[in-house]
Amino acid sequence: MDVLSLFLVGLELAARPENLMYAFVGCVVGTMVGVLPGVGPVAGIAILLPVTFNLDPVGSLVMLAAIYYGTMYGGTVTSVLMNVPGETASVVTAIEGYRMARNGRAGAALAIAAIGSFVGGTVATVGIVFLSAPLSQFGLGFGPPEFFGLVLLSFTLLVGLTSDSALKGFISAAFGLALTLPGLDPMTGIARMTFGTVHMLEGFSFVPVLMGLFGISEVLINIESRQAKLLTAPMSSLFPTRQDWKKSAMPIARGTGLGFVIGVVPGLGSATSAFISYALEKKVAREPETFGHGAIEGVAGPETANNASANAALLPLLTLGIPGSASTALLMGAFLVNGIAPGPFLFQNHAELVWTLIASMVIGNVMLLILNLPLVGLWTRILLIPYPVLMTMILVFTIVGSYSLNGSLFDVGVMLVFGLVGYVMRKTAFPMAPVALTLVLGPYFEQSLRQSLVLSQGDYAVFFRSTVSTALVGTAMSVLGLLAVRSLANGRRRWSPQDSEV
Amino acid sequence: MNPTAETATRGAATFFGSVGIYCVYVGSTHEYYDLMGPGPGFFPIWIGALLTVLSARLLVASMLAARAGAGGITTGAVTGSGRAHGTGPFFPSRQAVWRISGMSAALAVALALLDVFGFRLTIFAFTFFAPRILEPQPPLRSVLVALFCGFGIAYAFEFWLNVRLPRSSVGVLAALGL
Repeated sequence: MDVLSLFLVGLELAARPENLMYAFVGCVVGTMVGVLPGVGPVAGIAILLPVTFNLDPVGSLVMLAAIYYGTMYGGTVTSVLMNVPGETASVVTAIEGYRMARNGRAGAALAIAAIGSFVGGTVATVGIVFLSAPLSQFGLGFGPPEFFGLVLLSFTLLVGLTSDSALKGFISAAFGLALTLPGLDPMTGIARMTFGTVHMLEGFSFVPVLMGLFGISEVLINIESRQAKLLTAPMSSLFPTRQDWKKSAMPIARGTGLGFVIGVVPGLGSATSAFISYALEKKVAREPETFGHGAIEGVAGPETANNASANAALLPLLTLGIPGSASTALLMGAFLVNGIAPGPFLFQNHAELVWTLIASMVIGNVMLLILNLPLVGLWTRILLIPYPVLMTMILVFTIVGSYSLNGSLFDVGVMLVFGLVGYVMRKTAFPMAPVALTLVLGPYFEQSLRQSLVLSQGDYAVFFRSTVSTALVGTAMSVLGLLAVRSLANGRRRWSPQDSEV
Repeated sequence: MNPTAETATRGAATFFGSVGIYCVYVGSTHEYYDLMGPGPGFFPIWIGALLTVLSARLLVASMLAARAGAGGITTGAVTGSGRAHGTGPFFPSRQAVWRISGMSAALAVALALLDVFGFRLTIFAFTFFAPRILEPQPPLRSVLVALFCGFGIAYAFEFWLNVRLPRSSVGVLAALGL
């Protein structure tokens, strides 16, 4: 069957009433959570992940994907109306969008952001449709050495690109790998670091750990300071003017291409695409002096790039089993909880599921566009809920979520402990994304390393026997070397890194 | 007690280094290499060693920076995620210490009582008192929110999502279905 036929089959399944409902609920809930100031997409997905546990695999993944891009859009609303970016990628939207809102043009900003996000997301999904088959076919030829190289490269890229403080990034990554050690040894089945308790025989369940690291820590960071009443800029007409359309068309087109290319590369992230798009639009703008004072191009381009990148990041996840960011690492966790392993065999073994998921992304993008424009007023009403009550309710939700995984209070305890760990890590500028990535990929990393050495009878040259593994391992080593040189050079100067969260 | 951000960074580095040392220790108690190849001790030893070395480097760098009188190696972030600055305090204010420690304690108590009093009563109490740690709440609002969270959420999860939540181990309460 060719790609289009498979996509149409998936579309038919995605259009079933129950799957439409899951996508709708995911979009609504994701946007609601994304609107909450201080709760970004990663925390939002971590908090809502358990909602999907009791659904069938298709429904679970359809809803989770909808939550994923729903939270992205929710962050845009708070950026424009309150100058509170929900995530790093929304910072540039806050710069221009909030200025537009203060000039009485909040509606136009939100409408262009929604339309740009829709275009970027849909085109990226189309890209996934056509590139997934060749990429997964390419991945089928991967053996343990190639997979080891790919995972190693993903680690180094994500660590190197998410923070100027490479040292802290590597510590975070190594910590994440250490968290995968408890449990049964993947090759021999021997119990390792179980602390004498049956709860640890399967190691740390990564869902409570990630919920704690991202969700609980986010709440603790937010309750640290007394929240003043959030002021929102007044809403105006939702319809952009003809001039707005004219100014936004090319930024949306450029943002789509830029976002897709950046999103496919593990580690670069949506924030990178948003910032590069902003810089590009400022460079090519006819009136660059308007930037910083409410330039609609500064909303259209970055928002499009952000969403295109977020959708495109699903391509390496689905085809190679490599999550390129904390958000997609959480999505990968959802796959694994449902007993499905993303990667080259996904399209062979679960073709119907994966094409339904891809088709649901197109439907979900349409739903977001239709939902969010008229409902912006409704989303902002959520912010009328007093902050202490809101934060407490989020905590309750996470308690229920972590308990529902295995019906175990041990998981709740793990979540709370890692919530404190995550809080301290955030306060001391340790990046969180590497922990998520290594936590999810760590078992595969160890398994592929040991399998490779078993196959080669201990000869490390096995990683350089094929062109693909040589290229992957070689590139990873080069990136590591560059990071080491930069770290040493920084260490000689007064060091004051600025970290950015993925 | 409000440590500086740099002290907290050194504390974090010490924590990570300790985890690394523990991993090396555990790895040493398992087989490093067997007939098939790397054994169960292989990965823990290397990951532990890596974590220990990196943490030690961070600790030394932080101490050297402090001695040189630099601003420290922990600074604020673009998104304003509450990160502490260099030699500034870890917590932004004394009230923040109270809020964080109070909420953490409330969560710990709730976790301890979930099995004893069950989800409904424990979460009712948690959501009644926890927001008050952050700021004063009107009593009626507290009761309504607590009822919604303790009983409403329980109903939603048990009857719509088929998630069985903890029940009380106290006979009388268990008999009432709590």
